[in-house]
Amino acid sequence: MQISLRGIHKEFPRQNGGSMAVLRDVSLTVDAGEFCCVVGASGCGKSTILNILAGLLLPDAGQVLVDDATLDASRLRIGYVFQKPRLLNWKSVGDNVAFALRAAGVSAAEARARALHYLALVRLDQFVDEFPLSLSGGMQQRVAIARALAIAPDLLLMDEPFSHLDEMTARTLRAELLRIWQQARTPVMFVTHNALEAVYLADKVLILSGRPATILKSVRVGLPRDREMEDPRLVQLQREILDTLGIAAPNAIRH
Amino acid sequence: MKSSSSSTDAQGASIWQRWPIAVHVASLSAMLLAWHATASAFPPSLLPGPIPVFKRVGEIFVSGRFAVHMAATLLRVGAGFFLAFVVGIGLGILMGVNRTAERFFEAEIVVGLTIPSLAWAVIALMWFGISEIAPVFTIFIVLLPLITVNILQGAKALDHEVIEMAQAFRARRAMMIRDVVIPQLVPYLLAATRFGLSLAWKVTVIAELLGLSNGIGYMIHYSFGVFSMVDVFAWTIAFTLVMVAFEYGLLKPLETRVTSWRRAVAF
Repeated sequence: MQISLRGIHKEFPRQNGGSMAVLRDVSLTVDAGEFCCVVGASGCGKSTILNILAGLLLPDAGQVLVDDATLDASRLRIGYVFQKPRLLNWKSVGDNVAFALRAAGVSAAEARARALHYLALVRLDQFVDEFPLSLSGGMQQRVAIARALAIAPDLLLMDEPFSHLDEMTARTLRAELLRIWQQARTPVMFVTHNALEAVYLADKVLILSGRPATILKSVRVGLPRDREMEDPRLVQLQREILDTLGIAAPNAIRH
Repeated sequence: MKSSSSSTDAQGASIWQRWPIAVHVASLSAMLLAWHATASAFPPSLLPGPIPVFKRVGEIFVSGRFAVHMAATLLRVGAGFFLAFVVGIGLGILMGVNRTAERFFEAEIVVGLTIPSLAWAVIALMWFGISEIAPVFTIFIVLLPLITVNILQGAKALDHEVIEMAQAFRARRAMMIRDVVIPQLVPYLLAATRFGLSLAWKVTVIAELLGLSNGIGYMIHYSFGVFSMVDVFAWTIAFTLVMVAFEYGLLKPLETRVTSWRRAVAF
């Protein structure tokens, strides 16, 4: 299943009248089994792209296409992992994952079983009956990942899911995400401001300009899986991305 | 080394910290002693002491008279509170999510909050005569603006991020309301229940006093009419005991159960 955006425009009304163009002529494709990252500065419209894919926002112009056929985006089954875990704090960890499954039409008994299975994948099955506020931020985010994967989505959307975590936890979770993702190979759209994280995770990196945002360039990461964050090839790709975004290398400034 | 006669234990906590119930008992005992002491300085027709009053409380419980009147009052309070609760939740949520509705009903709420409950009780008696409708209506109309305002604040405080998450996962309306919205409103619902009920009792007693022929308010008024201060005190205290039992036996455990998820345990 190939999911694309074609010619997407999106404006938001300003507080004092008039409107602000956030996305201008955005076109992109996520192929079946592809892990796609979108890199751009904060506030440039990355989340807007995800919300349009999720059917939470309607574009002002342009189309959402599935296998080249126009689709009402709200028909896609979406797994969404946000910057913050956005768990239901009054439900147990297991019930949180089951909530998404029930919303997707799964029976209560099967929801419970699948929830446990996916919690085991993120190594939190012991905590199935605990409540989110007993868990650390990293653990809560893992529950959120389990929740998004449990529904076997057509498309996995991830909005800077590790940006609120410390780097050590983030590193662990990136590797864990890849480990789990490789089993199902769901198409992923992962948004981040961290270019190194993007090249570490992605098959393809899309570079987003500032507002009004458009795709500047698409960079293919040809490295095999089992990557190291410190791999010089990844660092080189990161440099390319930062150059495209106009962010100079610290050493270059001295000349 | 601490002496064994000190009031702190080995960990340094005082008796009062280890046994919070001892503090409550001490407080109640102090009140009763003060009452007893003050009452001995006054004639019983003005201020009876705790001993004759509690004796009378025992009598009205045992004779079954309390049950009869308590039931009458309880039914009125229950009906009025339930109606106000249901309408108040609906109105509060509507106003919370719809700005026009909020502006529209704001005037009625402000007016409703300022009219004294006694005025409503009298109006209700004029409109509905001496019937069950009068007190039920009074409770309903007095409580409605309060409960609405409370729920309105809850609705405004809803976490939109979690609602957006539920929308992303395509939760339908029923699930959204049951699993996402209502649990967030629970603290507000509990607060509304607490003060709504406490106000309802007071309003009912006034309504009964004015024009009904049974109920706790009626009995208090009747006792006053036959100049029996012991009975006035006894009926009031008997009623209070039931209220306290309700709060500690029902509301507090319910609250604990429903908010247990808030207590974070660090893993």
